[in-house]
Amino acid sequence: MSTDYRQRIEEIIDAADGEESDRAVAALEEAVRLADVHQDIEWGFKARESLVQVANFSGHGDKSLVAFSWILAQIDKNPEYEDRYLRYDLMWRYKWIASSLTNFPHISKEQILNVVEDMERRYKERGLSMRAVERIRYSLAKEFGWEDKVEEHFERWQSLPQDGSQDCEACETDFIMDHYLFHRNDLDQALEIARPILEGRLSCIGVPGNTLTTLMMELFEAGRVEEADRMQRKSHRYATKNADRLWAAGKHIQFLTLTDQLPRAIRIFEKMASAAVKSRELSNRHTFIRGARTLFLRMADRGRKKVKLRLATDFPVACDEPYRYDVQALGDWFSWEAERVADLFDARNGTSDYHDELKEDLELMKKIQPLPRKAKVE
Amino acid sequence: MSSYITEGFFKLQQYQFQIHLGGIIDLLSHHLYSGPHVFIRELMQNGVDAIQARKQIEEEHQGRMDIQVVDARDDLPPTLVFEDNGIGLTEEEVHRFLATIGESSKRNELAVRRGDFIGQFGIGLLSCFMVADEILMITRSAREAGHPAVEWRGKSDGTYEVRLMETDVSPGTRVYLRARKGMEAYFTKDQVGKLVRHFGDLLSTPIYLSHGDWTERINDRRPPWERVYVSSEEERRSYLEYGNDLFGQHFIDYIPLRSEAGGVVGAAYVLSQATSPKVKSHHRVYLKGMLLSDQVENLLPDWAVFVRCVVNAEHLRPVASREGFYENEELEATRTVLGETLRAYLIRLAERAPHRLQDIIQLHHMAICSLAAHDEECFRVFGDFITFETTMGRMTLGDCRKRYDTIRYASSVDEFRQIAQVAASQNLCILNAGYVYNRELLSMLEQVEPDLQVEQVDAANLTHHLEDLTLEEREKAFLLLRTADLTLQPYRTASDIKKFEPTTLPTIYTSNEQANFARQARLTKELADDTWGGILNAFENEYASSQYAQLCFNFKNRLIQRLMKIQDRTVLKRVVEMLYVQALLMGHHPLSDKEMALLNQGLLQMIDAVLGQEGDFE
Repeated sequence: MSTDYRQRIEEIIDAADGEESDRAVAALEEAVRLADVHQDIEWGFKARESLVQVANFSGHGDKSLVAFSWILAQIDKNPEYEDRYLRYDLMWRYKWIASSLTNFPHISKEQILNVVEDMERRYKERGLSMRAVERIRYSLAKEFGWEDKVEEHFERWQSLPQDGSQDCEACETDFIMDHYLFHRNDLDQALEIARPILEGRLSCIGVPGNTLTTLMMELFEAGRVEEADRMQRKSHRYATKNADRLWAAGKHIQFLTLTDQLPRAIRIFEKMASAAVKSRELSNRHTFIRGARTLFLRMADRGRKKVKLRLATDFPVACDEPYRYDVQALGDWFSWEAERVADLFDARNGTSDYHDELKEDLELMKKIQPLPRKAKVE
Repeated sequence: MSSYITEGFFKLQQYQFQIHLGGIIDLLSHHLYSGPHVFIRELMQNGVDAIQARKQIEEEHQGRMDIQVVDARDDLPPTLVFEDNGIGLTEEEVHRFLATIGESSKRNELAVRRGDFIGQFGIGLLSCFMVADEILMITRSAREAGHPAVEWRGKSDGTYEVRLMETDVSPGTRVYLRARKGMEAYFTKDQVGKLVRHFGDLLSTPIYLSHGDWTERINDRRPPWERVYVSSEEERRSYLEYGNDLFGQHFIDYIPLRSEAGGVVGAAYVLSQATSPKVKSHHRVYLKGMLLSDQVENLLPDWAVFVRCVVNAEHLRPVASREGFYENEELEATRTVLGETLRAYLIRLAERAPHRLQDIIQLHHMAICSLAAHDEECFRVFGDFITFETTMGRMTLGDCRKRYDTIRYASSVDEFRQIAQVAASQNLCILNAGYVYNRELLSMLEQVEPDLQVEQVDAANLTHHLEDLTLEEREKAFLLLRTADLTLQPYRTASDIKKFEPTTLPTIYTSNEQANFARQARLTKELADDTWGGILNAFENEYASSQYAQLCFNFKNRLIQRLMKIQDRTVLKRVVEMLYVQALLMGHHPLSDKEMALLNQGLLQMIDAVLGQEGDFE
């Protein structure tokens, strides 16, 4: 093996820098292997640090997580490594990892809670605020159906100091908005809170994309279709960037279906389907599956038998002639897949939330609201 | 409630700007231009334009410019006199052009003959206020014979005076600048000479610099593309020397450039040092003989990272600061032509001096690959010349395409190593696409050549193509396979047996993306504490259950043949473990602690066995 493996690792890291794609993830995995074969801890750190970042933002939370746990383990063995080898703050990234755990139904509730304990311990050791930890606990309460604790976590979170270890201001604002939407059911107040985001004063890698996507569905359900449509148009690029945005893509497909904009829904579906089939971030992927299910059930309702789709050959539904798919078969597959994954999550969480959502999706299909004509020609 | 989404917050009201001329001059001179030194360029430009205008009415007119440096004397600061024998200005023109920013004596004619003039903005003279507090200009128009000479005196606060002169002067313009305090450095013979040469090197109008009794023509050297050569060696030497002088760096080759679009002539020089994909080359560009900038980036296509150019353009439109070009159709067309020229050069090189092309590609490999991977045009240029490591030796992508209808590749270096030996012995050409950008290059190839088959081979599916055993042979191998499966189960590896070349190879270990990930999870688990260990375990189980790695024995191998005869399972188990570890090492897979222990044990047992035999002889 060549002696310049370090240079190769460096090249890979440079090339992958800022590129959030499957290819960058694969290249960084290769870099990790190279470092490991040479038992080179320093480059093992550097390659994994990049992998944590790139994988996290390209829809490969599993890979991010494994690389991250290696870094933690090495630092436990030798705390000096943290300052010596890492470019970025490790605890800042712990938030990403901790909040991604619920994405994987094979990780048990107990295991997730243990990680949050671990995170809390490490934050405490470093004298950091508990705000980021509390934020994760809030999400877990939501995920595991501990509704009675949600408000409590929210209030505690708000009272905890901001010392820079918490989420960025844009993300926190988005979070408060979510709380008003999904816990206090107050759309008007939520819009008021989101104002700095909607006016472009607050933004980050996820904001305003996910804010707009969330509001799009909420405005739709409140019957404010035109406003919702504006949200959709402002965030559709966000929703189709890479596998990390599958949930947003799913919401967009659902919204476009429910507003009778099927060609636009199909475009997003085509663009993201291949990533969705492969994705291992199951809950992220699940939202996409739900959107696709709505889309094809709706097409079937409208009496459509066949549909032309530009999909890769590894798509799990067979086509009868190249690119021509049976609408019924698509509807069946996505329904079946949605049920299967909902089972996994409900079993792990001990709730029926995922199945309830699937029922709600069907209810929503009874409330199709086509856009008024003038809005369409914008 | 939704009002803030739809309505703006601003109500527009109209006000008139108050313009402070002194401030504008300051702004122009300090912010529009890259530095005070450009006043020389602006003066030369005005001179060249004036001479050009005079030639339109007097075809035979011989233009020239004279620059005189007058040293400081007594309490007078050093002075510069800048003279041209161009068209000159009438009193009315002086008022019109020098008092209104944005007006220019060149503007009216512009629509008709844009091509003839360099300057367009009527602000060039103002740049002199960067080095002088006062500009004195004496000018006489060649248009109207009876018109007297005009003296214009402008101050940096924006005021000016004009008077008609009684003395007779020859047509043309003379500008007098007296150094502002602190700017004396721009008024020395050496500095002025350097700047005039820097900017006006390619101007065909002769420029003379004088200082006291001394006078010299500054711009008598002609660029290599304007000279005539008797031999190609002479030409080559001349071009390379010129480039070396101009850029102060050594080049390995040169490419003459010529484009009707933009009226561009010049040369591209091939850099002798590696370039980074993220840094653009800076080119030296003249506009009608006057240096525009040596930092121009947008003249060549993005992929042309391996060259640095010097060119003179006749028809491109400069931006207001005259330090770059407008992105317009003409520039686009120029870029295309120059790109074609470079491409033709590369193709010619590939035919006549392929090793030189290889040198260039080798040198700028990263930059070229990164561009070719993302830019279709660049891929078309370089794609065929990029070399890949293949199971049939190093080969250019072009050769691969010529020889094979299907391009097969392994997506990681490890995977490539796993299959290289086997594939080579079967004359199967597989590319190693594990290096940076390689896989993107192949997907670009697929995009550019839709008819070509590009196929990923993973080691696991390679073994499917190997020759199967007969039923009888399979029975012979039964015990070996069964023992191997049991032995390798903890390592999430299944066993199989096939026939393949080379017969010297006892096994191949094959894996795939998922099995690799599961393996990574397992390796990390060995380090991690309980909290994380449980999670990693869950991942390993989740992924490995569907996809096992595989250890495939070679039925044709002598060792394996012997192994199939052994009935003692303990012995079989040990050998299988050793073969497994050896296969991992061959494939350059990091070993886990447990695997490392296997290796150690095995080696010790072997040493022990060897020593035991020695003992027997005693």
